[in-house]
Order: sequence, then structure tokens, then C-alpha cells
Amino acid sequence: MTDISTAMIIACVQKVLNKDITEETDIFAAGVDSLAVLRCRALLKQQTGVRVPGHVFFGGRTPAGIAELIGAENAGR
Amino acid sequence: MTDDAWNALLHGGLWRSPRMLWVEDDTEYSARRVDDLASAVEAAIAAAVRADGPVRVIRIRSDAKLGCFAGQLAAWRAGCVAVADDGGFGPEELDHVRPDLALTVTVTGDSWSVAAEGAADRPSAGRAANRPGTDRAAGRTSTDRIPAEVVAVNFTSGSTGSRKAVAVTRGNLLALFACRGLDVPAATGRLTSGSFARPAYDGWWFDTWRTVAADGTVVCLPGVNEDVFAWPDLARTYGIDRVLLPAAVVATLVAAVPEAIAGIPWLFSGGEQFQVSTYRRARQAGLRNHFVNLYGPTEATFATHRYELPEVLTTPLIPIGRPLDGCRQTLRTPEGDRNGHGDADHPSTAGRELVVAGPLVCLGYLAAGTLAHRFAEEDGERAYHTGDLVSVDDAGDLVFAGRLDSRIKVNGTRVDAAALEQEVAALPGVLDCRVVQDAESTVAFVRTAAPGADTALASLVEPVVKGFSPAIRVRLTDSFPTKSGGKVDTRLLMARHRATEEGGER
Repeated sequence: MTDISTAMIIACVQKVLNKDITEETDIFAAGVDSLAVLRCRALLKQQTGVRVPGHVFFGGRTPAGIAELIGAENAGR
Repeated sequence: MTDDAWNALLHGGLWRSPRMLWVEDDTEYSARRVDDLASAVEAAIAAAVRADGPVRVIRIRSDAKLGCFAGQLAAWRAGCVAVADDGGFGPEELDHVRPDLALTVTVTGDSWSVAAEGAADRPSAGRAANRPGTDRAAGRTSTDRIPAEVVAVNFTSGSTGSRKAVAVTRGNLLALFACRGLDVPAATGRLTSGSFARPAYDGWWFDTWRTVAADGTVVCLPGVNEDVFAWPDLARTYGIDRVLLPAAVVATLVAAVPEAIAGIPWLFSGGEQFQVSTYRRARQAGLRNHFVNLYGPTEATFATHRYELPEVLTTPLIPIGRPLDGCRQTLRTPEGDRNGHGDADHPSTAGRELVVAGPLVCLGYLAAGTLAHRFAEEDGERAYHTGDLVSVDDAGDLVFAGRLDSRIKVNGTRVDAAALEQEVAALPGVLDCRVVQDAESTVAFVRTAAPGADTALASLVEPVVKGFSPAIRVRLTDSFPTKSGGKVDTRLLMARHRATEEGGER
């Protein structure tokens, strides 16, 4: 399965939120809500074909945390 | 007559049908397999009855929709009230129904197990029981506790207070299954329904039971936060004809992943007011689906009115339409308005209360495990006063115009919060509006497509809100938090507002 990098998460969130974030930004504190999560997931699916479940966003909270959770999920498969 | 039809549904040839199919988590279950699972649950019920005496109310716990469905079938075959619990019940909900027996159904792929919860330490029938949640003293499980015709429970969403347990009868469900106004043309000649509603919500009766009663196929859709991207494949593979979604979920999908619903010809929206802005966005996103706005209180099984949206919508609000067959409506002038207290500036406050009557109206409310309140009959039919105010448009369709209990007091002035929400939501650029009041203030939360410093939009909204009351604050936002059932979480909305307010003032 394609790996999704922290940089890709940052790019998606920035596109959806229309503001700059870093790999350690808590995306929910930065204004991401459930609709924005869905938009990010749709963008990732479009770019990589990977169907990222919502809980990795809610659990990961930062781009680095989210990328790590995605990696862990894929490793478990 | 009802008995015959009910028995035919529970015991008839349906469960040997080669056409009926249940699809969940990548597994297909034939009617026979569903029947097998129900038989396993029935055996567990029989064992519990042998050990501890008769049961009347059975709580069915299952993370799988199939577990809840087959559990309901089994409970009904055993002459019991089936309460499907997908994990969302608290002590208050359970106390309304006071189950005699709790079964946990675990489904994994094509295998399953059924366990009676706490069976070992339950009191035997010989001893009088007086324990919370299992009230099995002699006589309590007979039909005088809950009338025999009651087979299930609808829980209200609790948006107007605590969640109430509505007693659903065999006759209610049969009337719903027979209601032609909810039919859609099936592409393959047999109905295939996408199932989104969780088992404890009344949409469940429409998604699953009504479909199975029509010998159709139920395709369980993964949650939006799980794998919404699987929806198009499921729609294509099984030829899903219809899906029911809460209005807030339709709005989210239309905005973020319209392709998820593009392949499903008939979209039913219910639970909340379906916003014109959502419909416009859906069309702009290229969605060609038929949209049906359903209306109905939980106290009337599932729905009482429907409105099919025209290709071009010219009205500022989406009507709730006309009564489904078998439902009779009466419009009553609210008490306070009979003395001429109607508001000329806001004619929607002059709406009349909608009363629904007929076989879809449930029996009453359960509390402490008994039928505590029975809905009264009016002109020979059970009737329910919805508390919803409606007006009639030029085409003869009903339009939601507020709630009797939405008349809030702001600085001593009576304001119809629902009417305000309607007027604001109809403004261009506005997606939705909610008025929330707490001990300190009243805030009109306005959901817009382009939030933040949208001064042009704010200047459009402000005068409308101030027209109702200058004391109501306006707050633009790009999202509303929702509860698990899809309704807007107004408490959280206010809490967030408070948090940012306090943060800003420091």
C-alpha cells in the first residue's frame, strides 16, 4: 500500500483550511472539523488511492501523529 | 388481521426466499442464514425462560446490524418487546424499558455467538426480583406490564429534553411496511436499500425491516468516518435503489464527497429540516438523484409526510409536503394565538400545530418498564400532537414553521427561535442556522460556506436576527458539530462558542 507522508497530510490540511500548519500543529485546534476531515480524506484518496479512515485523524491530531497512525495501520495488514 | 399479517412476516416464506439478501462488512447473508441466526437467538431466549421464567422485554446488544436485526426477529417470535442496543444506551434509556433479559449477539463473518448477559447471577423466577434493570417479580412479565401489541421501542432524539421511549406496535410496523408513499421504483424489480441508520433510531424500520418485508436486499453502508469511499462500489455492485440519510449527513457528503451518493437514485432525507442550500449544492455538484424530504415525529413510527423535490426549486424553504397514505393530519391554532397574538412581521409564527393520526401513530411512552402514557384517540384514531407549527403553501404542501416550544424569551420578549432559523437559513450564502440559548445569552449560530470575516454576509444576517430581538448575538461558523445520530449538537456549539469567547477576552 502507498505510504502517506507527513508532508502529504500537511498539504491536504493546508488546502482544506487555507492556512499554514506544521507537522506538530493540532489540526483540530487549528480549525479542522468533521467536514474538513472528510475533505482531507477525499483528497488523500484522490492523490494516493488510499482510503484513510476518519479515526486516524481524530486519534493522530497532528500531521506527524496521523502519518504515524496510517503507517501503523498499514504495517498491521 | 394484524395478527395474521404479523405471523406471516415472522414465520412465512420470506425466510426461505432466494431473493432476500443482507450485506454487511463484506459478507453476504442469505435469508436462510438470517433465519439461522434468529433461531440461535431464539434458543438462547428459550434457555433463559426455562432457567428464570417468562420474559417480556429483551435488550439485544450487537455491534453488527445483523445481530440487532436477527435478535429482533427472534424476540418477536418469542412474543417479546425487542430493544436493539448498539451501545448508545445509558441507564436512563434502560430504565424506561427495564429489560428482563439482555442478549449479546456477536457476528464475525459467517459465524456468530449469542450470550445471555449476567445470566449466572440473575435471580431465579421463584424469588421476587427487585434489581435495577431486571424487574422480574411475579406478574411483572405478563402483558399487563406492556400491552401485547407492543413489539419495539423508538427512542426520541432528546432534542426537546431527555430521551423518551416510544411504544411501537405490530400495527405500526405493518402500516409502515405497507405505506405506498415510501415506495421507489426498483431498478432490478426488487428493492435494494442502503442502510445507514443505527438500530436504535427509527430510520432502522425503513432501512432494514421495510426492505426485508418487501423481499429486498439490505446493504449496510460503512459509517462516514469509516469507509465512505466504499459507498460507490456497494451502490454499483448491489444496485442500491434508495438510502435514508440525516439532513446534516447529506449536507456533509454533498460538500466533501458527492460521489459517495451519486450512484444511488433515491435519496431520502429525514430527522431535521432539509436546507435549500444543501439541495442547490447537490445540483451544483452534478448530483442527479431524486431527493425526498421526509417528516415525522418518532412518536409516529418513522415518517408521516413526504415531499419530493422538483428539479428546479423555487420556494425559499423545502416543504415537508403531504401526509403519507394512512396518515390523517389536522391543523390546530395554538392556544396563545387564539386571542390575536399572531405576529404580523413574522407570519410563520402564525403557523398552526400539526396533529397526526392513524395507524402510524405509536401507542404511547414507556417509563419504568410500563406503558406510562397512552396517546389519546381523536375521531376513532390514535393521534399525536407534534408540537410542530406548520403553514400551507400555495401548492397545498405543508411547510415547517417552527415549534410550539421553540418560543423562547429573550430579555422578556417572546421570540420564535425556529422561525428565526428558517428566515436566516433562507438567506443567500447561508447554509443553516441554529438559535441556542443558555442562562447567560442567546446566540444565532449561522453556518456559511465561506466563514470568518465575511462582513457582507454578516450585514445580511444581522438585520434579520435583530428584527426578532436586538439581544440575540450572531456568530458565523463553517460547521456545526453533530451527535452520533446526525442531529446538530447545540450544547457543544454553545460550549465551543463560550470557549473561544473566554479565550478572546483574556
